[in-house]
Amino acid sequence: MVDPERKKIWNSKEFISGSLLFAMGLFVLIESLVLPIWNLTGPQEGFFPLLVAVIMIGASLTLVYKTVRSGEIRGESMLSEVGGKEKCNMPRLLLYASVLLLFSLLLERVGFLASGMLFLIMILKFVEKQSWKITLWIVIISLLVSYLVFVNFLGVPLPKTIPKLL
Amino acid sequence: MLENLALGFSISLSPENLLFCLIGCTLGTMIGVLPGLGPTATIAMLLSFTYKLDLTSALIMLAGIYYGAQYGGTITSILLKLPGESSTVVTVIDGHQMALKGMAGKALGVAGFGSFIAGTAGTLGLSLLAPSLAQASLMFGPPEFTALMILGLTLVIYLGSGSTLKAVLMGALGLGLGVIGMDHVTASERFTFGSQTLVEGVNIGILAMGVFGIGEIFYMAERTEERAKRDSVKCPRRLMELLPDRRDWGASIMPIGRGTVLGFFLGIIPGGGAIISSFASYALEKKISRSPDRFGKGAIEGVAGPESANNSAVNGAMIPLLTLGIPSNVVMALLLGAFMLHGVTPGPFILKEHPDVFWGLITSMYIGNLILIIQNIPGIKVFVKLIEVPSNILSPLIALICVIGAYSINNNHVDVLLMMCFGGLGYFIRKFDYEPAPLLLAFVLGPMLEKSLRQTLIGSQGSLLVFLERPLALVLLVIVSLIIAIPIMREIFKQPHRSTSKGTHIH
Repeated sequence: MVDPERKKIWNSKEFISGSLLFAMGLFVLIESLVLPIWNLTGPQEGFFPLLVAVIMIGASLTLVYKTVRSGEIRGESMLSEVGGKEKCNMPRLLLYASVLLLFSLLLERVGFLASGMLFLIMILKFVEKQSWKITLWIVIISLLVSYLVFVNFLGVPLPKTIPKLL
Repeated sequence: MLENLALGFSISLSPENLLFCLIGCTLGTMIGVLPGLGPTATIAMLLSFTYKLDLTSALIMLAGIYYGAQYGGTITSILLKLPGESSTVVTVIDGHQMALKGMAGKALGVAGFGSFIAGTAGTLGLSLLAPSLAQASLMFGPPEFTALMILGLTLVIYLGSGSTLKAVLMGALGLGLGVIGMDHVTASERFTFGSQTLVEGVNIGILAMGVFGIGEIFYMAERTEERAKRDSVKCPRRLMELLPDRRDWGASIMPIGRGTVLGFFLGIIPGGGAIISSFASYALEKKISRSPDRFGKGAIEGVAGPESANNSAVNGAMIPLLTLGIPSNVVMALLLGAFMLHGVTPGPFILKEHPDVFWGLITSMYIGNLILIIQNIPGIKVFVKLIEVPSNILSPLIALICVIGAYSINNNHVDVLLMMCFGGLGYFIRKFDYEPAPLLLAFVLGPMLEKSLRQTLIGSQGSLLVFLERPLALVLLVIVSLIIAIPIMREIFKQPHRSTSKGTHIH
């Protein structure tokens, strides 16, 4: 049976990931060569990272070589496709990640309750398109339970919202 | 032995530890029912919180989550044809067929009782074998530990699903992440880039929550597929429907026995664990059955064997962790993280230095299995309701818990940002079809491997011949060589596919 699909090799998951990991291995190699590798007493702090870098470079180059040598890529190896059938929703992912990053950055500035509330409302209402009723119920219950379990019971010192505002 | 068990029960039967065992088992069952959120991600999320708890209580709860999840995954496998856990995938084959024939109760009952028997027997095996193995491991020196850890990493890489080359890359990346921080021998900083946060190294909780929790959330965020409709099966209403009759016991007792033994020993092997155990048990039962054509159509042996194997494997997996301090799978690596957070190193000396932790954990597993059978058999309908919680509501809640968990480690929002970076790594791993297990295991084993290797080379003045002079280390390294060489030899001597001049393959 002849496989009809032919895609550009450099768009494949194996080529891209192999190249990225090769670059990472190269970085580790350069950084480890700055450290002492060996002396009279034996291996020093640069020895093990050097070993790891060699393994990473070798394995990533082998992956890239095998991908290029195979000469063809099946559809589901393409980066932009999920399961070979549907395109991935990158804007949705980026929005989700941005809101999560915002939550992390605001956590100490405005406190846990305020930043958590903002995070949940933005995700549930604007990303997941839930109704206001469901969103507010989930926000109230989850923040209340989180506060009781993690702050009161486990004693986790989360940043406070109310003193910050005052 | 009896004295040790008495000590253990006196600790595990305390009200506090009973409560944590109950929490772990209940949470584990809930997690097992919910597809997508496994015991690995849950334990990863809770790991940082366990710092606030006593070590024994923390381990009891985390272990309860692990074996509770095996029970939970069975419920949805049988009733909804939806494996809640990867180790219960094989139960779908015959379990759901039994349910479609109106025998859901028998399937759930046999699975539940089989899991209880296997879990109890496995715990007994652990009680008997672990102390002896801990004594034997005192003979291990740095060369033996180095060889054993190399074997463990090799097995995880080669026995995992997916590409071996990609597993090697993940292993190398894990080893690299383990290097970050202060070198324990020379106290010099490595790969910290001037960051005070990184001087102490990467925290296992941050890495695990990022890769398994946030990474999974990112991966689900880009998918907008609808949940498929499934065949609905009538959930058993009365307790009597769940109790196997004499005929069911007659057909199941030997598969339960075989599954227990097989699962226990496969659980010990790194890279083995509950998944391989359940598949191996199913294959065994089908192979030795007098009527193998019944398998796939509702054979009770196809449920009894695998369900016993996956629960027994949990106990087997505890052995290398407790006796040698070497985790055999990702969950054990996280439990090792819990030990490390409390400044305790599992291994040969744990019986002498922390017998309360050792025996408290083991005896809690007897209790946990009892809790699970009492709780899950009547509570099946309640747990099944959980499946109706949409993942798009669950995801932000998981993210919230991860952020709290990451922040709680050092009360530093930089840890939260670091977790987000590892979330990106987790997304990369899922997106590019890599496996996270070698990454996490290598991250945990890496510092120990480096320490043993450097100790070995310092002791032998840089000579690798020391591995030839230590019989046990030599045997282990020969096994490693065979594991690596056999697939390569197969590849070299494999018949090449015929190709056209245009480079396409003809099958």
